[in-house]
Amino acid sequence: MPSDFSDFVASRWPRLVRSAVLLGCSATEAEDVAQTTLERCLLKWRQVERADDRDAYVHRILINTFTSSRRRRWTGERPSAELPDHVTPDPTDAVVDADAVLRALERLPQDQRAAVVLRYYAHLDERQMTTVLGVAAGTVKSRLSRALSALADDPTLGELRGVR
Amino acid sequence: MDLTDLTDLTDLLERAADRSRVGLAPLNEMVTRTRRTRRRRRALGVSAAACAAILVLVGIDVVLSGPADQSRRGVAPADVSPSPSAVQPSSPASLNGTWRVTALVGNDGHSVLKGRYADKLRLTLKDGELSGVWGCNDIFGGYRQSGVDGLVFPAYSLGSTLVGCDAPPLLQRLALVRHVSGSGDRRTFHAASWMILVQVRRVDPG
Repeated sequence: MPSDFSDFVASRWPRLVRSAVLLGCSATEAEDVAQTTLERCLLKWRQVERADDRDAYVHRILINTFTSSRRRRWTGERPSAELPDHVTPDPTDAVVDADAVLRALERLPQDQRAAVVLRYYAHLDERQMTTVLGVAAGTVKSRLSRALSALADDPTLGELRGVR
Repeated sequence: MDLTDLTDLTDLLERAADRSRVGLAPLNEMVTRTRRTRRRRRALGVSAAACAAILVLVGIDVVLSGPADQSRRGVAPADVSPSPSAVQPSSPASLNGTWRVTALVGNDGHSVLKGRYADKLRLTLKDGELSGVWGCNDIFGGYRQSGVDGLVFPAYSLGSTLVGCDAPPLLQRLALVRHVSGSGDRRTFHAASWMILVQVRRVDPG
């Protein structure tokens, strides 16, 4: 294993998992997607190291992995002897915010949702996003513009912002 | 609502994402699975290379062997129905006598004896010498029996008169014969692989 891979995983793992959540994965699925992403990075570690923009490269793999996981049929699910869900106290107040944001994201088309996550959570700039999404800069801008417009009109998100 | 203050959106996303509990990265599992994937890919590569090599070798073999040796391709002559004796060769004993050629495998695996040649190919075998009628030509040569089923018509000994007529390729097939099977008034000549090349029926005893 390349020595710096473990450092790379340690630094990127939480944000990759959470990016997958914002893209639409469940918590368990998000870890699977992030794990697959990092495994693919490890398989081509030299390319990752040589990449001009390592974050853009990794996020591109993340988006592709996520898209592939969405294409997979339901039989792609793996049975587990243990239920992944655990009973926890009901943190209703804290959940409301996250739930509202996730529901607002769910109402976006997938390409706009990905653009929002990459821009405002992964903090990629437009140039990096053109690499990750494989589209022109104009397309990135229009996706972001439409997404922001839709989010601005989203009533749930509006209430949340009003509360804040 | 105005989203011009984009730090708000970033903040909302951060807070929503932070709600997701993230476990420790399964580093060891990643490494193990990656190694397994590499091994699998390597094995697939080796298998694919082996398959490609086999295909190339088979292709070269088929090209070099020419159309006559169809036995290597596993092509069975459709019209030359193999008799039970061809599958379980019996001792052919002496071949002395005159034989009518009843089937002769063609380039495509089918018997080429049609119509006018059906009764015009005759072989006379006597003590290692071959003579016969081949369409409008005469043929001659020698043959050698060995063991229970060995039969060879040495290619250098085979020849014919050269009247121009369109006769089936009997001499070429005889040159490939390595085995004989059959009993009574029927014999079958086989290639080294036991593919049927020629079938003959005895006309009269030698």
